[in-house]
Amino acid sequence: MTEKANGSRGNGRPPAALAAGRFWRRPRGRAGAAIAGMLLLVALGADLLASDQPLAMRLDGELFLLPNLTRPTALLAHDNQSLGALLRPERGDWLLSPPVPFGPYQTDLSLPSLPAPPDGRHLLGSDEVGRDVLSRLIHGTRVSLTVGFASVALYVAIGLLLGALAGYYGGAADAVISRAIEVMLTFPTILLALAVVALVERPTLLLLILVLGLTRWPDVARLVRGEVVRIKALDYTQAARVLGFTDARILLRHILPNAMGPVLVAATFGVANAVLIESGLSFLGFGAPPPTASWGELLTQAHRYAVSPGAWWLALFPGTAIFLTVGAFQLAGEALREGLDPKSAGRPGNRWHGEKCCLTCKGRNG
Amino acid sequence: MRSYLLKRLATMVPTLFGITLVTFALIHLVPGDPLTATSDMAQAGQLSRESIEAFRHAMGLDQPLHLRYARWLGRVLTFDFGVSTYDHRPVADKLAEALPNTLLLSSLALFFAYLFAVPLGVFSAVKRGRLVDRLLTSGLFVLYALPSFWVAIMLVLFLGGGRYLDLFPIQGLSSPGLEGAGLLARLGDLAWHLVLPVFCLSYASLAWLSRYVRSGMLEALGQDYVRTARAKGLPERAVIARHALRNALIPLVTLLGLSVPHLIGGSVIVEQVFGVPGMGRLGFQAVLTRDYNTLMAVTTLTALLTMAGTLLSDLAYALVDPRIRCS
Repeated sequence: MTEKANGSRGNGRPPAALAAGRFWRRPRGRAGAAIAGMLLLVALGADLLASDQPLAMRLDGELFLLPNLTRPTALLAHDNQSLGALLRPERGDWLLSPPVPFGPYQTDLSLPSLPAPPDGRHLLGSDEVGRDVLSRLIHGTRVSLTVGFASVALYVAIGLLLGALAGYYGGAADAVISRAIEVMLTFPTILLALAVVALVERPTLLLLILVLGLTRWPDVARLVRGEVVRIKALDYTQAARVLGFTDARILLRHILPNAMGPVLVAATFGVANAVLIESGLSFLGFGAPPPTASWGELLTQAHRYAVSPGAWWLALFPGTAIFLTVGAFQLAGEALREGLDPKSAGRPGNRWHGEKCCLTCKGRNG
Repeated sequence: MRSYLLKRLATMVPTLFGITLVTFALIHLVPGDPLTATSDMAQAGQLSRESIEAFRHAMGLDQPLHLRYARWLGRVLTFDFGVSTYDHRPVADKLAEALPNTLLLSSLALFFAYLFAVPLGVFSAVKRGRLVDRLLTSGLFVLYALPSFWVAIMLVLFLGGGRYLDLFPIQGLSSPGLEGAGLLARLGDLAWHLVLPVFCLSYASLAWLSRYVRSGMLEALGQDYVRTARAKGLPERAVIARHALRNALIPLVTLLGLSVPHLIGGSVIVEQVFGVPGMGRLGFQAVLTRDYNTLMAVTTLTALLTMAGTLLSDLAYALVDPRIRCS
């Protein structure tokens, strides 16, 4: 109802559709969304793009379809290379290998020295134990985006809940939550995350997601609180109250939907930030546990082999991957913000404090 | 103003209390203590059970959590952070060694960020919409999205270390063997060591700040007082420098205070890459060795600096812009 009333200027189209249109009209929005979408596809199809098992093969009359996904026991001891050696075309054997015929954990023992620079076989080189860098990059996309999306989803949920409670009810709830927000915002996030991840005996990806999710909610909570306070004073909320609607209905149906714009923007910037923190923690040795493929872990190796033998391929490629991901979500975030709030065009950062800054973003824009 | 200051200082107390409480709880609720982290000896059975218990007792690790927290807080109020559970040196000494290095890095990084951000932003705003502006804006966006620890590694790889170009040292803040050298030689050596880490810490802030300058300038250039200045025939140079820029700079004052925590936090990884013995590295090593006392001290101090930065920037804002009143 309210959306229609507000959208009269856009020929009756709802503001969300108008915002989406403005988002798409911006090259930044299209570029960000395109890169992010591509990364998402890479993450989803990692096993199809790079695997130690073929996409399909016929061996001695038996047909294997997508053994890279199904992992049949008959082929488990093999990889693309050893299977290739088994092929006997005269009995109709064939093999279709993925574009990158190496798994993220597969070590290439034929390499003369490690880490090995790029060549025709390993297009982006190999790491210190002979694993294919391109394959690890592809599978690392999955780790980065999983941590990015999952931790942001978690903290957006927490932030929405606490922000809505504080903003709607005010009083004691507001006082307690606002104080908690302030405490969490002053925390050196990276040290806190490090402390928790490092102190646990066997860190997992889930732990990393939980730590990021539980430490980074204050930005969203503060944002939501502000929006709720603002919208609560508007006529239509007052009207809903006069009509005797319950608090839950007013909050969920009338207030929060109108507060979602800024939250969406903050979440988009948040993914960029989470990817950055994940790779930073992995770089320090406290990200995804080994042997998980992650971009930050490749950078650790790059640092280790920087002086000798100057393994530039271990630095250049994962760094570019991080940069592309972070950049894509920032571009999308900016375009989204401008789409939702055209007046903010050209303004730097995020009016709603969701901006990427550094590994230790403590809210504000700081 | 004074009552505002008092009020702000008063609200900092519970915040700081909350921070110490949360850090303490988190660090201590996670299983394991300094002994499980540092001594493989304990596992190998080289340390007797008695000596382990004696160590725990000496460090107060065998006492209930709330008692340990109360004791820790009591001591902190007198700036006594205890001794490191790792090397038994007073934590205060370690902080005193690390803090100046981080402050040096951060203040230099801030200085250079502002030094370049202001002219770049003004130039970009004046050339609004032209090719230069668009190139600058995109370039700054790229700079902003580059992860600093990646840049740090690339710099170590290509400009230090000797494989490609051996231009800069890549470890620490001083070269060995210069202890007896003259002041000038040592300062030069320090500056030489600072180039790469300071660059890594400053470029992102530079990109971020110059976008603020640009948008601030654009806003100022659209104001009536700028039109008035132009109408009375002032040269464009004077309009930009004296009328627009001055007003565009106001938000930058706020950002100065807010960058303090950003720089200290960002130094964790940059200090690690360049082996700079600062706060970030100290905190990281405290995590590695489960050095509770040091870790608590580092987080508390960082939080304190963060709050001081926020307060300072709020006050400075009111000072610079008479339209803002503290209440």
